[in-house]
Amino acid sequence: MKMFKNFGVRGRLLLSFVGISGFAVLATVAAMYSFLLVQTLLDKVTEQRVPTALAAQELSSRVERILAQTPTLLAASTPPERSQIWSKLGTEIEEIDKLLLLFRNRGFAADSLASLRNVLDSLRSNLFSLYTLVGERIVLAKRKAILLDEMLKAHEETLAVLGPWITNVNNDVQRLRAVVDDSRLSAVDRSTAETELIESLTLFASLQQIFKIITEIHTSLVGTAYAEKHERLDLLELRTQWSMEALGTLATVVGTQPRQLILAEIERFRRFADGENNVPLLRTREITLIDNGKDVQRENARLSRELAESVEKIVRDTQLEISQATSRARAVQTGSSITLILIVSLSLASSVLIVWLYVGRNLIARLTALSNSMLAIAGGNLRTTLPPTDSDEIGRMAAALAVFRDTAVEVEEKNLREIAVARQRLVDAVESISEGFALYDKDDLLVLSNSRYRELLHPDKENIFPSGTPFAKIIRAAAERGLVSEAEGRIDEWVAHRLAQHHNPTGPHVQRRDKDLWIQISERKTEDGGTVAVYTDISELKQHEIELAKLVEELEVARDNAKEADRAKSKFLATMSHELRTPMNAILGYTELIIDNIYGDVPEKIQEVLKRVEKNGRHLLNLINDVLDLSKIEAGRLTLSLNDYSMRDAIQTALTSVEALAVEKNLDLKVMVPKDLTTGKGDEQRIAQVILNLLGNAIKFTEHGEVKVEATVSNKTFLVSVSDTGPGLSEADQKKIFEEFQQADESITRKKGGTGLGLSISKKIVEMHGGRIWVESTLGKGSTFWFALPIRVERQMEKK
Amino acid sequence: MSKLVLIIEDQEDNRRIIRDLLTSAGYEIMEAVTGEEGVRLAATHRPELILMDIRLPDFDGYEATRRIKANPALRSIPIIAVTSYALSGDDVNAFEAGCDAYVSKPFSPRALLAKIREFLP
Repeated sequence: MKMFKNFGVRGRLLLSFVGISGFAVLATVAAMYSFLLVQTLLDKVTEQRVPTALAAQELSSRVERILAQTPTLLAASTPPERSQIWSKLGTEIEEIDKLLLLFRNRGFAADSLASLRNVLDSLRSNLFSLYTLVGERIVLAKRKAILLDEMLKAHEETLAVLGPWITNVNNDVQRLRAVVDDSRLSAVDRSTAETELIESLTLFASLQQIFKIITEIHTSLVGTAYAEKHERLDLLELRTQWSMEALGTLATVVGTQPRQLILAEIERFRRFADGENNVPLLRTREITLIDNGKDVQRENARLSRELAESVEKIVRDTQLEISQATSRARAVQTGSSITLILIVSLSLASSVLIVWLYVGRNLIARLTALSNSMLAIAGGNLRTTLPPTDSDEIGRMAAALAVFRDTAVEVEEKNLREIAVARQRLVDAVESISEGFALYDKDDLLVLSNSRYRELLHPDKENIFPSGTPFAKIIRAAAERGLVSEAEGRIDEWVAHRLAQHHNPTGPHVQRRDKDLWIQISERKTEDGGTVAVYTDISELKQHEIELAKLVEELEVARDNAKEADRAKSKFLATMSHELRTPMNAILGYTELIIDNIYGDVPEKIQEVLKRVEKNGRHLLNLINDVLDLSKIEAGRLTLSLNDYSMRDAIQTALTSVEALAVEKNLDLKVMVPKDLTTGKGDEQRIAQVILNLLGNAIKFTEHGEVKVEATVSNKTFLVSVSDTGPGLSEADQKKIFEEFQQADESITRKKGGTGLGLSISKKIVEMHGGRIWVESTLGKGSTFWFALPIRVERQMEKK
Repeated sequence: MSKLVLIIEDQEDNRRIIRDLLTSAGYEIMEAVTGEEGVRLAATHRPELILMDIRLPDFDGYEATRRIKANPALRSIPIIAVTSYALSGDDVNAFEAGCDAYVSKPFSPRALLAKIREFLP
């Protein structure tokens, strides 16, 4: 361990971890190597051997299929059938070739492959011989069939001649025998007949002999055509030969006629028995072919067995290889498992050793010593022994701890000094404040108080309560000495209430000590559970408060009176609005009736005066209406009735009212309102009133030229303007024109019959809609009054 | 046969003005001073038109209108309300109560006659 000292704790820990992890790395490498080995073996098995075995089995099954086809090939009776079967076999053989290619590519054992190849080649050539053989057999069979057919026809022809001939001769015999036996005939006739009878009998016997031999030859020839073996064929051939010879011998003893027949027959049979393509020859070749076919089939069966053996050998080899690979893999696995366990055990042992030897004995012991010293210092024991210093990290830590301990000792001494100073400062500060101050600890014992507290709360006694006096005792003493007027006669109750307040302070509260002494007590809990109490003399403030309360009471009475007056004013307005209009209604009504000559014809002079009366009456009525309107608006009693409306209709309504006036003054009245102006929401009647007022003013003040009303929509706002070519307004007038009872020229007001309230009312109506009204004007050029109104007003604006 | 118009109006001067106006225009007149009297006369005499003041001593003209219009036999009689000042909102109330038209005070006799002629040509 000594040699590692230079590395320090970090270096040594690193070294030991490298040691421990070295084993882990070793274990990993070993495991990876064994995995690689096992993987290679398994790959070889899965990639090469298994497909080979499968292919060999497929090969075997294909060969079996071929062998199963060979009897069909052998039995084929027509060339197309033969070709069809052959092409099937050809496909199988091609597949087998492909499989062989696969074998070669798998690096298969050469001897197994060569024997397999040989067997397959033999099989292929055998199959081809079989194919050729079947071809020949078909040709032979066809030829034999033709020959047999010809033979049958010839035989039937012969029988067709021979049959009737025998019958005729037989008839002659019967007839002649009757003649010979007839005794009524002459002897000559009978002897002639007898001679003829003998001749006929001889002929009959010869013909019967011929018939028999011909049938024998035919039967044996047909038998030859279907003979199973060469021996049987030879026998039949011999029998045919004999019959032919017998027929030849017969020819020498019969008469001319039968001889000719016999010679012809012999000639015919010779063609079938000895000629080119004779029946025995064809049958011989056929039997040979069939025998050859059987040989080939036997050969095939043998080859098949060989092939099965070869395939079996391949499968067996493969299985052997697979099992070898598996056992090798298992061996590798076992080997690596043992290695791994060994390495892991070593790793574990080395870890235990390192932890025990180094970490435990060296590091932990020293760290524990250090930690104990630290805990002792933290606990306040600055005189504890410290572990020895050293050059490594732990040694340096011990050195640092020593420095820290020395500093802490110094700081502690300094702190004690500073605490003494701070305490004195606090006492001085508390003493200097103008409020009474007292501090209680968490057990409610007095900690400190200032002299202001003592003179405010305990003025009667020289003796002050020393630190440590309970709060309850102090207040009870004060109450019992009669210092607290609000506690008189109910000391226990008051003390309990005061204690509750003190324990759960909710904010400043006022305590009445004496007739003229009020103290505000602010208590707060300190963090350590104690209580700070500040006592303020608020006697003067309390006096002001009492006076203020009296004033408030008086003001409330005044306010109630004012409200009453306001209600009276409202009622007065309502009554006046009716009371003023009723007589006006009568005056105007009668006047109109008189003017209209309802009460008889009125002289023109009186008519003229009455019209003046009517005009003045109307003016007075307008004035009354405007004043009442304005009062209502001022009192906040005007409520808009907000509904959908058409600005175009509102403008039209106003225009209808002033049209006559414009015509009277010979003024052009122009309207520029889009037909598709959107529908708005607002108080249509009030809006119409505004437009009417603006139009009325414009016409009233304009002597020449035109009055124009325009409406547009811009940014969710109706923009309506009424412009005239009247006298215009000075800038000063523009400013105050919307104020009540203001017109540009007072004398004109009188002349024009305005009330001076219209614009003021209009302004208020527009503003109640949340809109704005203004004027642009140049003296001598005319004025344009504008108002902008939100298209959809959903609620009335409150009066500002 | 001149047409009968019922005037329900508590104000003497107004009654007289309407009476003089309509008589000279050739209508026959019947007068009621209270709402109750008006409703009764409407039921007994079946006038062809009613002029209804809104402010009446017993109950207001809206109530009188509702009572008349509630009677199926009188429902078809047109009622013209004579409301106070036009911008008071009385017009809306008048239509809601069932009036067919309104003129606002102070009415011009000419305008009133024109309105009556809309219903009784």
